[in-house]
Order: sequence, then structure tokens, then C-alpha cells
Amino acid sequence: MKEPFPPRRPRKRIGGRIAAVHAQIILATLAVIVQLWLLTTALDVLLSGDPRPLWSFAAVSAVAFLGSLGLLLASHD
Amino acid sequence: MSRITRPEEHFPFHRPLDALVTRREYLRLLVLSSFGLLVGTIGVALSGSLRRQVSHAPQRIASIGDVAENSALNFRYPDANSPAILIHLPGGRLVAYSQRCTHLSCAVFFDPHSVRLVCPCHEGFFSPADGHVLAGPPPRPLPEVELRIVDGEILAVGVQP
Repeated sequence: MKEPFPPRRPRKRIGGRIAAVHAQIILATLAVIVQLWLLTTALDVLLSGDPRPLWSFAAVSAVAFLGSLGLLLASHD
Repeated sequence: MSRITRPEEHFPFHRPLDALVTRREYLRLLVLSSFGLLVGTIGVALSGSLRRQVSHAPQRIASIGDVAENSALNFRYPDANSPAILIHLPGGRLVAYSQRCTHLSCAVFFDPHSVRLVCPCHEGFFSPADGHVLAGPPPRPLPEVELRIVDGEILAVGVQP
């Protein structure tokens, strides 16, 4: 016999959701720590007078930011 | 007669709940911090790109005979507030560096016995051959003063950071 409604999607268990948010917070914290290190190293390189690698630091920092932004957007799903 | 009311009745809020930062809010704060750090790093990169390459006028330091081998001579370059040191290395090569230690700007001196540049403040040591750090707290090599020899005269012609 055919079901009158499509089967309901099983909701994630609350424990699983909390674990996912914890993982997102840990990853975003790691990204911020890496960015802090990049900023201090960039300042050190700037003071040493060699500006060549500075844009690569900014690029890695941008990747870290986009990663943490992606985590934030994923947390709203 | 009017009843005296407590402010909480007009502005109800739950203090423990108001002070609570949820996990998602914390994640949002982290992303905001991440954005701030990105802006800071881009600012540093922009500052490095926009920094002008300053050229300095050549300046006579001394004649070649004025500096004996394995000895040094202090001078100022590119301006009166920039102490520098000219070293006649064993073997005859002439090199010059800024005399400011890259740690906390103490004046370095040349030690002919150990053939090293020494910062007496915190025991930093630099190689006189290329200015790199041999030991101690200095984070960077000494800036090198470019030299040129014209008719037996030693000229400083620029500074390499």
C-alpha cells in the first residue's frame, strides 16, 4: 500500500548537532590562531624591509577567513 | 495610591540568559575576529607594497689605507642619526653595516679576536661576512651598507635592509 506522505527526513540527534558545532568552533579557533601568527610574521617581515612575501601571507589569511566563514554558513543549515 | 514597581516589571530581561553567549554567537565572534586579522594582514601587505625605495646620496667614508685589516671604523650613513660600521675583514674584503642591533637598537661593535660583530646589551652576535645572526636574541640580520671604491676612496652608496 502506498504511503500518503513521503517519509519524513530523520532529524539529527541533538548530541550530534552539538558535536558538529563544537567541531566548527575548534576549526574556526585554529583558523584565527593561524591568522594571528600570519599577522605577527607579516609585521616582522615588513620591519625587516623585504615586502615580497607579504601578499602570500595575506592570501593564506584570506583562505583561513573564507574557511571560517564557510563554517559559520554551514552552521545555519 | 500608585504602587511602587520594580524596573524589571517594565523592562523584563533575564540576566543569566542575557549574559549567555551561545555557541553559534561565539562562532560568529570568531569569524569577525578572523575578518579583522585578515584586514590587518592586508594592511601590512599594502604598507609593504607602498613603501618607497629610498635612494641615498654617495658619501665618502675613508681612504682604503685608513682602516687596517681586521679592524673597524665607525661612521654615519645615510644621515647623522644612522650609525654604521665599516669593517676590513681578514683577507682584505671591506664590508659595512648599520650599527643598530636589530633586537633593541643598541650599537654593535666589531670584536677582532672572535671576528664577530657583538651587541653588548643582550649578547647578540652577527657574522661580519654577511651580517647574519650567529647567536642571541636579534631577529634579523644587520642592514648592509653598500660600498664602492673609487680612486682609493671608500664610498657608501646605499643601504640594503
